[in-house]
Amino acid sequence: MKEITAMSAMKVADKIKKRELSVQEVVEAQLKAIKLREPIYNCYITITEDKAREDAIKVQRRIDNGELKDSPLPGVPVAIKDNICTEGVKTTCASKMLADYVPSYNATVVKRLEDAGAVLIGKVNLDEFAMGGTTKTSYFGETKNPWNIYHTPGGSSGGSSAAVSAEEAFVSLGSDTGGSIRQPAAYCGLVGFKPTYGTVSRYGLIPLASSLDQIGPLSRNISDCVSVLEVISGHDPMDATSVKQERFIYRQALIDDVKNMRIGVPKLYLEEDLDEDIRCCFMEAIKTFEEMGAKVELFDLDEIRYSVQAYYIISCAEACSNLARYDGVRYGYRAGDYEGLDELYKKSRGEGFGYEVKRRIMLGAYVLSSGNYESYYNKAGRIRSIISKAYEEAFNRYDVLFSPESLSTAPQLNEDSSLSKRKHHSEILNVSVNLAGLPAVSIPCGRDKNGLPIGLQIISKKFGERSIIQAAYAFEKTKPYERPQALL
Amino acid sequence: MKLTQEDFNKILNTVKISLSEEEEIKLIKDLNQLIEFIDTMNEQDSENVEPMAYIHSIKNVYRDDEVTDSISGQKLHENAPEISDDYYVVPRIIH
Repeated sequence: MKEITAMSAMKVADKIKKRELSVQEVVEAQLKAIKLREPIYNCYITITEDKAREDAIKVQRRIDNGELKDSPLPGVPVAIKDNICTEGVKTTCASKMLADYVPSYNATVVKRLEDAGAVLIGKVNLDEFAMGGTTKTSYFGETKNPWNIYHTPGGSSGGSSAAVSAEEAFVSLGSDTGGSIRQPAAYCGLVGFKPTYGTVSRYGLIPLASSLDQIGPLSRNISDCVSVLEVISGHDPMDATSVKQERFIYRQALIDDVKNMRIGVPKLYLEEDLDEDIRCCFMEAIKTFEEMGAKVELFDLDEIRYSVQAYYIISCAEACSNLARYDGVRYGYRAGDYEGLDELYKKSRGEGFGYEVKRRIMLGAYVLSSGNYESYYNKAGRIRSIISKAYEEAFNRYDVLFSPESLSTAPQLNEDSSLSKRKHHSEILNVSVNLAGLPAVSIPCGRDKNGLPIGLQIISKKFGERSIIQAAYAFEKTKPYERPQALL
Repeated sequence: MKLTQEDFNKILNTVKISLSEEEEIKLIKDLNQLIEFIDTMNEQDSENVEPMAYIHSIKNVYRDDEVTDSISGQKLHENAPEISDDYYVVPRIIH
């Protein structure tokens, strides 16, 4: 089992295509690994065991017919974050509000993966409604980091990252609104990619902040990541915010060459309170790129100084609006005991939502209220404009920008955040990317003195995924994937 | 700007969420801390800048006015807390 589940997605897909392994064998091995490790890590909310076995037979038949010869992912078991709709399979957003919700449709990304022959193996854990950075706010319990079970795998896509890291899935899909793919990828030693806004359809992604959300892959290497990106990206008539390009081809960017690549490092990021190990790893990564022939330069990007404030305002305002639909009437949790419609709403929402969700809805309502709309919501929108323009100008001088992915490695699960000396962990490093709609990846670049993984963030201009992929690929050659040592 | 209890209650009524006493105490404190933090963004000058909501230049995406397949009402009703014939059941509103 371990031999199979430890392979990369590309390797197992290759073996399946060459008939060295059958889809059923791979799926069985994956389910076995899940059964063994789930009691420890709690990555999954729903394991689609029966469906995976049925799909394995169908996919094998399609492979035997020659139907999937051009697919990069035939027979590959994938885990999907539980805020992405899967037809007939519970989709809970890790909330009591949707604990029994079964969508009647597939998200476009799910349909595309299944058309490509990937096999849905289960729905993975997240912070409730994707609000958070630890997966601790999940209604279904916390997920443990496969590198050290006393630490969080990050969030909000903590289940997505833990599952791939624990070899309970080959690849997974997460969603990123303010770093929720990149940060958990960094904490779990994975590649986590947030595409340019509009590249991947949001149809079927239960929305948090509609102008910031993007779905993206988490994987053990950049080639697996690129394959998933190619499958899920492209215009979708069901998502009016998706850009008109039918297909995105990224695999040509898997080139081991960064000579003369212009790399910018915003000074602001290095002024943050970074852990010493993170700072060291980051500087070493820079040195590696310079040795490979890239040109690295520090520069001022002060315009992003207030990105966290703008992010909170915009994301909470949009969340407040998006979560207004949960009213206990057409779907979702309904309170057992109420008198009148007003109480139905208040009690259903009061009992169905966790504290963090309520906090963000309240802030959203506050910044949108008359009297505050102009000075908060519009002000944040202006800062967003300024940030976007500043990045645009930076990309006239640089191909990519680098930063550490987070201020610290994965925090402990029992850490009291109110006592933490840092108010906001990695948001300052991540959210401006979402505000500007840019693509960014987190790739592993080392470990701290306790052995916990450290991530390097690479950002590019709108639709600049190829530069990111090229940089990541070249760097990965110097730092190949490492499996968590504590893994059974 | 600090939230008064009255402001807080007004917002709470807008968002239609019931809170326990404990939650209410914690939430007022948390919100005031958050508001204090986001207020610091006023240090950034943004005069003559238009607010941005969407990063691309696409506007008004239309489709042809054609009837296409849709999800059946029956399927959607399967998630309803309470259904009667084809109607969602709610408490009486008009008395």
